[in-house]
Amino acid sequence: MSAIGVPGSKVYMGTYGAAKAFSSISNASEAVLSFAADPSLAANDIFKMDGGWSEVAGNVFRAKSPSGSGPYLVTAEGFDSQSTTLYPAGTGAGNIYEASSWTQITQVKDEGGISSSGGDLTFKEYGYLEVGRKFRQPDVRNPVGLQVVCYEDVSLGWYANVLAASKNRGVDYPFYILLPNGAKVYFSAYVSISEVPNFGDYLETTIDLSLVNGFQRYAS
Amino acid sequence: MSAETALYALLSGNAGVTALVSTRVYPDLIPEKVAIPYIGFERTGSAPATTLEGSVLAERVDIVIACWSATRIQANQIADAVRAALAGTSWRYAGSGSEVDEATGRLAATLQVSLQT
Repeated sequence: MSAIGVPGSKVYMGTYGAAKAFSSISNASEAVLSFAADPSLAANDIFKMDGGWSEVAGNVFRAKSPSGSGPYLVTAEGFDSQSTTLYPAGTGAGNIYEASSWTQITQVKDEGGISSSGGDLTFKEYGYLEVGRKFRQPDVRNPVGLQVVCYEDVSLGWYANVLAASKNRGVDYPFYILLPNGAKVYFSAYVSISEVPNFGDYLETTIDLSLVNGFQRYAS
Repeated sequence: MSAETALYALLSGNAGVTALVSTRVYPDLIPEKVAIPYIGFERTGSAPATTLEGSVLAERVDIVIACWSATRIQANQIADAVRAALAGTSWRYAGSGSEVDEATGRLAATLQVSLQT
């Protein structure tokens, strides 16, 4: 048993590079992407995958064991793609986008500085005329969002980046949260920030992150 | 400058306050044989603005000011003078109360104030 403390966590935002096409992806305990051209990924590079598998489209992964020469193969660390129900064989091809230029979002509040919403399973209700009650069956999960609340300081370097990202609607950005135990949580998100702060004891800025898809967590 | 230092400077330098208590403005400890009326104040708490990484960017300091006198009317007059001195400054007035020292019969009008440092 363990409980991971949040104080000491750090939030980083990056940018994506140009699309690099991969021609196939395997069904394996760790999926392997195959590129026709050298994707120039080194081990531990971070990339977003956007391909035929909607279940993980927009998820962010860490590169593992790049072959470095043709055929250009890169493993998406931690991505278990063995289920051909979720990941139909031969249909996953698409693009990756390497993440870089990480900037820390500083002055995140220690209490209530990071909160999440969504991700919960929704249900459909149905019934039968002859039965005097309703039934539920699982439907889809609600989209996931994160809120990051910072003490406002518009002179900080990250503020301009986040503001620009907020104005760049329809474009998602890579993020990761470094937890005090060394674990990292990667995701891609649409960014929204209000230029009008909250006026409490201190000026506070809230950054709303709407996740494109899911989290990818690494222990270190 | 600490909140206490700032408050002392503000009150002991305000003509409306000193007209009533002279310079008998005391942080924390009140001298044993002080003449009345007088003002005492002490820090009751604080609320730091702390980041996830543990940096303290600022702090709100809460202080209670007690305006002691032999009569309720004068204690309230002193409290009014203190509130007037705080008006227009960075100090925030957060409410009032009262105290009675049964041993001496003295009465106090108290003010809860805070300052963002």
